[in-house]
Amino acid sequence: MSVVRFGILGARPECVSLLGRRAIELLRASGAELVAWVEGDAEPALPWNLHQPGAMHDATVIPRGLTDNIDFLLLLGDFRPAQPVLDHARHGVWRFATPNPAPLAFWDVFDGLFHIEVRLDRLTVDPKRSISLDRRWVKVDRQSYRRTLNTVIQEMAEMLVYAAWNSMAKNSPAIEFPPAQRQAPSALDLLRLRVKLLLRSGGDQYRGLLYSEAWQVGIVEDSITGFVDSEQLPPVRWLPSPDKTRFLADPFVASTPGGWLLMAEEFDFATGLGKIVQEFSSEGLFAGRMQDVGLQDEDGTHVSYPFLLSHGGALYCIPETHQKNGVWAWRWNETSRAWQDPREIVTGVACIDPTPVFFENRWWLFYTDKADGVDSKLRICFADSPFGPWRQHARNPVKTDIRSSRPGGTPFMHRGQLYRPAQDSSKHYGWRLVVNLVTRLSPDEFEEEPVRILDSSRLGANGIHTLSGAGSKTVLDARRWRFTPWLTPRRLIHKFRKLYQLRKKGS
Amino acid sequence: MSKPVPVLLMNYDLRFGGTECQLCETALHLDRSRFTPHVACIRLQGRRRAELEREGVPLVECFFPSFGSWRVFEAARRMATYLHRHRIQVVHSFDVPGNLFAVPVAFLSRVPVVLSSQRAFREVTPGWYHRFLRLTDRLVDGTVVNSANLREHLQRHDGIAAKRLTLVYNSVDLERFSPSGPKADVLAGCSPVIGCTSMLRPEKGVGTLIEAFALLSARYPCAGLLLVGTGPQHAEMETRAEQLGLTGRIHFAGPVMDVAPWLRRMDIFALPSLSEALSNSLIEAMATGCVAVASDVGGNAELVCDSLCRFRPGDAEDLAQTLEPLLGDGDLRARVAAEGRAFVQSTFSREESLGRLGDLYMQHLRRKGVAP
Repeated sequence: MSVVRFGILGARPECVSLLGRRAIELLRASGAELVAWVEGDAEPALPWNLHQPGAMHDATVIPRGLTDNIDFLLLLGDFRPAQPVLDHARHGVWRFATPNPAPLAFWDVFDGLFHIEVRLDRLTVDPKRSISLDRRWVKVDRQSYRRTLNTVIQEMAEMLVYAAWNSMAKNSPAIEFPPAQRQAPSALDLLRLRVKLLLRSGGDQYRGLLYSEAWQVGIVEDSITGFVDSEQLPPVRWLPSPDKTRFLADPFVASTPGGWLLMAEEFDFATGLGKIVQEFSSEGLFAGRMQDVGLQDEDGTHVSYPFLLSHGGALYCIPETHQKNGVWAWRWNETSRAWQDPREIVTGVACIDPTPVFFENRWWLFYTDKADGVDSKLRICFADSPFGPWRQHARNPVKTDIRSSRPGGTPFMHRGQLYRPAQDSSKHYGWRLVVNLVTRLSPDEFEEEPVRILDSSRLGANGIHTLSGAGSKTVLDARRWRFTPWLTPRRLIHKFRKLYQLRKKGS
Repeated sequence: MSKPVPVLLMNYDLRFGGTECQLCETALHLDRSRFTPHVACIRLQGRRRAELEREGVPLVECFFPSFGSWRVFEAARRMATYLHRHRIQVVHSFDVPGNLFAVPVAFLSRVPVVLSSQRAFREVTPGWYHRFLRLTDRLVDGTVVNSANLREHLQRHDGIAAKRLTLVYNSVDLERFSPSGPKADVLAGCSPVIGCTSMLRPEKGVGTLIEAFALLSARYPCAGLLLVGTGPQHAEMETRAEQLGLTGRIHFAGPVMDVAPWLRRMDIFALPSLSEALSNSLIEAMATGCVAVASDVGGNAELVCDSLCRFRPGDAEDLAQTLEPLLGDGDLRARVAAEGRAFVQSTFSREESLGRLGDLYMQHLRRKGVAP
């Protein structure tokens, strides 16, 4: 691939916003060349000195003015360039956009939204319309404007690099996005945000000290496709938790020649680790009497998400083992009712919730990568066999959306179409499940649409993150808060210890 | 030139349904030089969400599981914040339960113009919803209805003054729903094909159509039945078709994103609804060149003017008798279909409907002194 050559429009090299600096740094680090800088006005600063413009010290080499052979111009600052400038670069003028851009992410945190949409647009002759090169939905940290801002800036900068190398020539129809809302916060607004952040943080601290989260596994005597067809949730039979210090989550179910098999993660508060447990029932009447199946190493790594896959007449368990930077498939032995012959199917990638599925004569592996952050960037690999070797999808990460990326259970075919359960962690981890309909899937294309939301509050819970089915059985999990004030002293000690370790590390 | 007025359109969700379809049509094609549409939903789910997202329409979710949940207050605060932040000037709620939630919130948030829509007869809504709707009728500046029959019904049964009711017919995209274009490749060898696009719910009466088709199947062995859509009765309908020995002659297409190719496969579109204000499917079918046959309820008579093409709701024998002459006479089908398409072109164009809706918004904004 030839080198990407880009220019900057607006701002000044000695005074560039944090977003501008980060975007330029990442682009140059990716191998793109900054070849022109058309100076403009200084960009507006953000509140609390969080986003003060700074100098691009190594930008002195940049010729001032337009040169030929530029792939695109990145517009920094808030103005509309003259029409001839739009045509100067091969792929036009690009600009970052969000619904509430000024100040960046401020009102989103202020209003307590769960996510922010960030875009990279190419300007068109029509001032109202722009071509969207990339769109992403990023989680809002409702307790910290600084952290939200950092996330948004990082995402925008990465989006620019992605577009520069992958979708520069994208020529989708121009869209008329609504005009951005620009409202400078008053001193009172700044004060109000401080109070809001304090209250939100206080609320979370209070809950964290007095309550424990507990996941529970539920059984539904209905096919998983029923969750797409009907708005009503069928009755759920909840299995009891092992005890007060452990809980069950990430359930998967499969039918075997001898009966039904339920697999789940058992998380232990004491060790902070999950292990895989199972229950076998010839009649499918699970009672929650789970047994350790020994899929984890003795060195104590966290294992979760025991995905069950039927292939070639055999049943395989493919758990998440991201701490070991790989994925292993274990084969079910019907005679001994045990898992054996582990086989490494992915090497060197910390896959979160690896979910293989066979679709249109290929095996596809959906996962998020720990290196990207666990919840929002969906990646896909494909292969001729579920054991690999896997090839990366041309558009990885194929989707960045905190609302529906991370896999959340068994993908299934229904009326000839592929549906993929995914986690919506925009409000908090495992908030709810979204069932996506995959409308396009090939080695270089991917599109899906959310068609059903399974909200945890309908289950009387405040979290749900796995939906799995086999035949006439579906299993899911739900999170509830348990009032456990007797554990408060232990939590306080844990918090102080953590703080102490952090300080020690810092010094 | 004045800035476009931000308008918020509200509905329960964005699945495939007539109301959802009209909301999306409005959000996507409302005159952008006059209005900036936003869409709010109680549950932001359904395949239309992706369509709106692709076109850059801002979406907001105000989720609450039921009106009895405390989370309704959280959702109300969320919506009020959104209305304030985006300086929304018009809130237009499209159906129940959106009306019951959005109207009070918009009223209390002092949005200048609050409108509701009534797109189905209120008899199909639960009892207490109906009582609260009468309350919200008093909070809104006006109610948009989609059929003259419904307008009359609301005046007579709910005591809404005529001046507060505005008739805006559903709109249809005449380019998309035209007789020429790709056709679904199903029911090969079947002709003529009777069909219906509908949610498979009890009030849609699709079971009546299956029974009527069974009555005709022996006399017209080449005829086929094409059912597009899904719903709670889907499995039940498939079982019934199997029991009647119609497997192979009935095709259940399930939910589809674009119904136009499926409508082109149909020769006769039969709408067996037990309650209907004004059916989008019927308008789309007529625009596509299908012969329209509909139950004699609600606004169907406004669309299917010929009484020979109407039948008693829920009466499979009457439906079979109505279909019989059409199945046997291709010329008759062609004539009725041409008349139907001409009628739809003159009355239900998108420009006409959305123009009227835009004028209604402006009229209320002027009355409130918000627009010049």
